[in-house]
Amino acid sequence: MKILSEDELKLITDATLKKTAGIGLKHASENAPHIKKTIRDLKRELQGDGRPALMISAGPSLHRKKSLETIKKSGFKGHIVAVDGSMGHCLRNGIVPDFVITVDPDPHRIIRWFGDPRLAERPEDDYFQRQDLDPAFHKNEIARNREQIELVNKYGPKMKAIISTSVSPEISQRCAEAGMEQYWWSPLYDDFEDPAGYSRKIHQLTKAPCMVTGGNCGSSAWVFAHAILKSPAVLMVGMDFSYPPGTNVRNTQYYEILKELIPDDPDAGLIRVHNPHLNETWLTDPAYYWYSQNFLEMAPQARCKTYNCTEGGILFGGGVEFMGLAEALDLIK
Amino acid sequence: MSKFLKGNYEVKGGKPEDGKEKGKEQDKDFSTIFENSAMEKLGGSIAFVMKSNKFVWDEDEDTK
Repeated sequence: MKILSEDELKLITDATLKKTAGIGLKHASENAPHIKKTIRDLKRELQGDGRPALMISAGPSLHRKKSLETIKKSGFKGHIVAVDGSMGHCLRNGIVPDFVITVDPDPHRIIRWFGDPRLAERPEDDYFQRQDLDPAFHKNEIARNREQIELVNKYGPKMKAIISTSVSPEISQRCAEAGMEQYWWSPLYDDFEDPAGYSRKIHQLTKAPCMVTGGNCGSSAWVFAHAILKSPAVLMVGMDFSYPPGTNVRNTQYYEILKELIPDDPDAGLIRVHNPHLNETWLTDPAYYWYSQNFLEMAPQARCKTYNCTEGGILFGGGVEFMGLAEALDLIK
Repeated sequence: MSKFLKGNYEVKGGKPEDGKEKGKEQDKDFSTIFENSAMEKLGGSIAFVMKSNKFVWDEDEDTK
């Protein structure tokens, strides 16, 4: 498939609003009575200590490049912000994130990253066997889930959940059970000046500040790092927004949907992007490509220096410095 | 315009002409795919919009 035009990107923007705003509002109304602290409180508590942030997303390069090993060796002293999908990998490898961010309103899948106490009751779903965010979940799902529950319970009191009002109320219950302190926020869904818009409605309902998301959890974590933690430098790992060269379309996030859209040739739904820093051509799907373009729209407007230390993927240029992780950690201590 | 406004709402007066007719023709296949009922599922994890370089909107804070 060709690189998407502005009009096609707009179609994805509209589709995402349609897919997430209604359920986000429903979850926000269910979560509202349980909101005690928000990211506004966190900002006041931290007072912007000027430390850099390291954002750990869950793209395939996190595992391929063994980024966590490099981080551990460096003795990084800044804030560590993990997305929900990378939390298990971090904990299993001796890194306890300061913050774990979650935003996706999916009612059944996301809680697995926190350890799902109701796994046996979920609808049948092979997502965790196919996904590339945490390969540890590919096999022995029940045993792995039990291990995840134990890990999150063990380290929960040391981690703060940066929890969106859009997520299933079960996630908040799970965080509370694991002893994670919760700081709430809402995604900015639409124009905050629109009196009938979702953003204003949800803000009135929850009183939680609205944050720009970039369309996904990793980008939300980056926004959180510079806009709330006030980190002047944000290093990112696992921000691939794509799949390594040679990946079979079956092992991509949107395979089932691409198969539905293009039954004869779902592979034709993938987009090929050349990364000149690596001299490699990576594969991405329309939604991941949309994420990358959203990020490149946001990056130049941020009051931070952004280093993409993923060492893979398609996110480079336009305010994003593509740099090796060891080199960046040496530069930003 | 895109430097100031990006996302899922329209500006009054509509979008300016960008003269990308050729590009539109080439990309017709993808737009056709999007007419499929599965289109909604192809969206991202969460909605995205950005306005006026503002990363956080907090009416309670802004009005203080």
